[in-house]
Amino acid sequence: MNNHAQEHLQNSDKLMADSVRRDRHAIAHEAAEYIEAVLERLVYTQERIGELASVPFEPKDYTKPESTVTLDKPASKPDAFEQALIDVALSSQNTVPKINEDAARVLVEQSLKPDMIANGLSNLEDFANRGLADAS
Amino acid sequence: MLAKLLGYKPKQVEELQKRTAINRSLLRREAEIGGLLFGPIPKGGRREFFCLDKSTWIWHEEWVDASGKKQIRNTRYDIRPTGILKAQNGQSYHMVSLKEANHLRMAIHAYAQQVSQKMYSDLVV
Repeated sequence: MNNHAQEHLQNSDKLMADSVRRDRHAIAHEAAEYIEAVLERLVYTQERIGELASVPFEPKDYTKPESTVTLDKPASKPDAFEQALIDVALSSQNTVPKINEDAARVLVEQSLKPDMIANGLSNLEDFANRGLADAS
Repeated sequence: MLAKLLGYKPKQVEELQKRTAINRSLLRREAEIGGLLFGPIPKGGRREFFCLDKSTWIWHEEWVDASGKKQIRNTRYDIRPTGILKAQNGQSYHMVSLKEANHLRMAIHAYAQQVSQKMYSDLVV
């Protein structure tokens, strides 16, 4: 084997050796990246399991409404203005018949004449009615 | 022999044998470097730690016990996407704890760094 052939063979061997070395080098780094990815996933999974395990189990009662709405407000005392309106309303209810009675009495008194008294009080109602008719 | 049976040409067989021999030699050297990652090796003991492939790691440990008897333990770690499996002395596999997985992770990173520096630093990346 001449020098040239020997040199070629050595170069060829060197290239092959470097190729294998490059493969091994790459495998070591790929392995480091791979376990990193696997562990990241494992840690995440364990954390999620831990989180879920720490949450107390409280079964929800779906028969109950989410919230209770109170429609009946607590009774409150009316303020001064409201009370005044109420008083007016109540008093007007009471005064309407009273007014009528007063008016009737006035009219009856005005209608009563001494001669009528002499005729007795039996037809007092007729007088009163007539007085009311006159007044209107 | 297998290469010849599969119909490889003599030159191809020779190349394959050379590559295999180089690979074995590199593995042996990597295993020595890996064995030193876990501290000094006790007297009379031997330790090797190496990467067989991307997902397989071998830890070989030899030591002399208290009674003077030689002990050997081979540990194989298989890294799967769902977890890390471990088998010792050919026994059945079991899943490693997160703590042990973390130790393995640290060892693998140190291994990659050490072999890069001591064996492959001349390679153009």
